[in-house]
Amino acid sequence: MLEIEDVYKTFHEGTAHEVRALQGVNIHVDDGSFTVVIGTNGSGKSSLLNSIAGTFFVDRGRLRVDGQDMTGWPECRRAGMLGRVFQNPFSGTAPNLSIAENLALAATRGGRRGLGPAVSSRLRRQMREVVAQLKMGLEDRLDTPIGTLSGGQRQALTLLMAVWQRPRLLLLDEHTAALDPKSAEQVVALSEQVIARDRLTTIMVTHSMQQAARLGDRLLMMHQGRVLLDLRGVQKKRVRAEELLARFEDVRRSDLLDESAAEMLARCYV
Amino acid sequence: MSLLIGALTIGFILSLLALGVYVSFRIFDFPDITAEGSITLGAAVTATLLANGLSPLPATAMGFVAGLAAGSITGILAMQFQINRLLSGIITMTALYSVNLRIMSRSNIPLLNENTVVSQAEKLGLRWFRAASVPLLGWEVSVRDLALLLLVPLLITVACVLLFFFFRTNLGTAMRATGDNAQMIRALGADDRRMVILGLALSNGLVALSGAVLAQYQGFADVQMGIGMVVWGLASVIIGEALVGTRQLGFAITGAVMGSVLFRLLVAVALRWGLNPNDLKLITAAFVFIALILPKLLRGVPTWQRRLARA
Repeated sequence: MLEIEDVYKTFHEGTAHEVRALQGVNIHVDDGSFTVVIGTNGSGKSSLLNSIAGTFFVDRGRLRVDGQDMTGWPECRRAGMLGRVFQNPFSGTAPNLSIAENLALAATRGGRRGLGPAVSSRLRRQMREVVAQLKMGLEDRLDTPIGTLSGGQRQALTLLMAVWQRPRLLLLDEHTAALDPKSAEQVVALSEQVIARDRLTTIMVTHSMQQAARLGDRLLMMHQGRVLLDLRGVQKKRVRAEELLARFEDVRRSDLLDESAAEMLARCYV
Repeated sequence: MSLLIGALTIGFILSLLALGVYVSFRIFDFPDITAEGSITLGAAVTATLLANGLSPLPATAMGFVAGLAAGSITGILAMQFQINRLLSGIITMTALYSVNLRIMSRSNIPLLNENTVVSQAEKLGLRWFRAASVPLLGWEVSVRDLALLLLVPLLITVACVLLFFFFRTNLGTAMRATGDNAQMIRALGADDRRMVILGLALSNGLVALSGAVLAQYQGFADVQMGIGMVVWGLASVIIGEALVGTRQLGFAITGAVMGSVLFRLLVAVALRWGLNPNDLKLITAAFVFIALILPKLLRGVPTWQRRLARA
């Protein structure tokens, strides 16, 4: 369904802040699959999602969706098929707009926005029903500005917005990282529920090894802009959080070795 | 009395300017200084067309359209060419100065003998009241002033209602969301650059409309009439927010109009009490400065009190 072929991206090339975010990533995502991506800070896992979403254009490589080349599509064009939830619970909603207005914008995702009323009475009835499923009592507060809600509530609503119109691909970017444990649990449960119900093709970046071990049917570990580990099927099912942590430790140790070795070489020869 | 009526009428006319400033500064968080040029542009276009014998309503509408164009230029500079927002406005504003002179082909066009919206209103007033002046609360008031005091608020009400409903359509909601959270609206498939360009066009259209009506009211268009207008509009918006106490759409729109009228009344009273008109812009600027820092100062009060209590 989604093909990522030999994708490279370097930020601030040629400056002191140069970051090689993606260095030859190849991933084929199957229709209806649920891929979990883990990796250390700066491993390129968020850059991977952003390259798919079109937050930036890649330096090299191709991105194809359903056989169509979307490498050069701007972000707003790709949005028609993508549902996105961000790490920051404030990123996915417009704080001064009401809950209903935010949801209405999600209901027109990817379509033309004309001069019809944004929140029609039919849409409002539908909103009440869907929002009631959150069991947060928000269905009676559809006209309150969304900025007055808690991070967990906003993130739950962002998730509803992302899947309001069935997306071809759902991108979750560490969407529970900034929440308190209880809200994080709620949002994860909600994510599992909607993904299973709508059979959504999903890519989820997470920092939590527990989530990575428990969720999804495929696991990618990224390191230094490349895919280091790709587990599927039975392998993915068997993997436990401790093993993943151990893998991380290995990676970290080899990194340290690299650095100290480089330092030693520099001391001796420069 | 006629001073009071005049202040009210000008306050209502300039509330279109306040609404324009509200759209750019508040809805889009875009410090758009183009307004200084586009208010004059509206006046210049309308005055020139009136002087050439076009009837008042189409001439005024053309002033509005000219403002739309000016605003979209600033929008394109800022969004397509990624020029600093303040600088984009300054560039357009500077260019408009020459454009306005070109349109008028001199620095001032008098409109006293032309057929304008105001002279139409006067005719209407004469037909209603069948006299050149009528007693109002013990004062003799000319029907021209009275007719305008009735008609201008009507125009403003129509503009406000249209604006309110526009910002609640799918397009309008997407525009408001753009100013609130551009990342979110891009993720939902709207081109945020297009939204800002449209928003600035609308903002400057309103400002130019204000200039078009103002020129007809005061009886001339002048190339200097835009100086200080952005700060003036901002002062109105800030007073309006203080009056209604919320930034919700409907209240904010009403607030901008109320702020504009109240500010104009305060200025009229101050001038009556002997304020030197030359000091007006200085005082307006000082007022906006205080209004901008006041919330921060007030927030600082509790810590200051704590420090005092500890000592």
